[in-house]
Amino acid sequence: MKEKKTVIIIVAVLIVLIGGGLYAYFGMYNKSHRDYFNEEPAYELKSHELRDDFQEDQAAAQDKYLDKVLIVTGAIKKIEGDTNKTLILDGAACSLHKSETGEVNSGDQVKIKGRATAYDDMFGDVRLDNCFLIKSKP
Amino acid sequence: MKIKSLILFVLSVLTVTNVFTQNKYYTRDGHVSFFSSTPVEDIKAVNRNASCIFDQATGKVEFNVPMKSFKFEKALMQEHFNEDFIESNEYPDATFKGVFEGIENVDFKKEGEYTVTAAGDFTVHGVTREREDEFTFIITEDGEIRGKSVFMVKPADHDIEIPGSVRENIAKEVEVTVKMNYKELKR
Repeated sequence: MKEKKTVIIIVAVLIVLIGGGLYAYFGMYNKSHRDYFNEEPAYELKSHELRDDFQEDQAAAQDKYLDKVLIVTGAIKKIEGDTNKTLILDGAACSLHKSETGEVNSGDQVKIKGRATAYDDMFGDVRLDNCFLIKSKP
Repeated sequence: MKIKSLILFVLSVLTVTNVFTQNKYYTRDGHVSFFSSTPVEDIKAVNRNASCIFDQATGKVEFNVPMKSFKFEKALMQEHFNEDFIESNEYPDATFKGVFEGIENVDFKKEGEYTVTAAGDFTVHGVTREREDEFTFIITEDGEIRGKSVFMVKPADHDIEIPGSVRENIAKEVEVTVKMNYKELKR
């Protein structure tokens, strides 16, 4: 009687372990993409300050900013991109997330939340992707 | 004497205008995708944030691809790519710096397809390799300037180590496709 009980307990434990393992594995395998929209920003700064930091010490700036969600502010110098709308600020090129369809024009002062990906030395801009416009009261 | 100085004046004006019309073209939303195929699985990733500038007169060209902007279907693959293979925090971009050889044969004003050779230094994962690949300019009916290239890259050539657990899942050579839609660079 006691042995039977032990066997049942062992089987139950095994089922839980294997089930848990499978769940964790497939959960990981199918885990969702990062939610840039709702992520807390690591830093908030002006677009040209971000560029200055990269030009001053690229290695340190990479450590500090890359892959982090930032909020950058500045005026739109130009809007570019046929398939991926990119807002060019002074020192930052911000590619909008495909769900961001907000209306913007050259010259607008904007506040943008996005993820820093790299420093583009051809244009002297810090690249951000997955960007969203933050509507702020004037 | 008067005619001589007039000629000199005209010549100097021409020279100055030439310096200002540099005929550079660029894009900042170029497409770069790669495809890895093995019997175990096919993996594809797409990047729409590549930038490029080239000079029509000299053929000098540069590409810059922010590696973090490659999008994979599975978040886990994207994570492996960035953290384990490409190490994108340390090596955030891939670059190509070189020349379009044969660019003098491209008539940017005339519809057609023109193939040149992109020769130069290709840097991925901090490792630079010299390459020569075909690059095709497509001038459309509307006068748009597009560029396209397909070439193979061996991860091993750029010291990208694939751990044993996924070695069967990732091809020894991946196919890279580049598609650019250029605009004139106005300074």
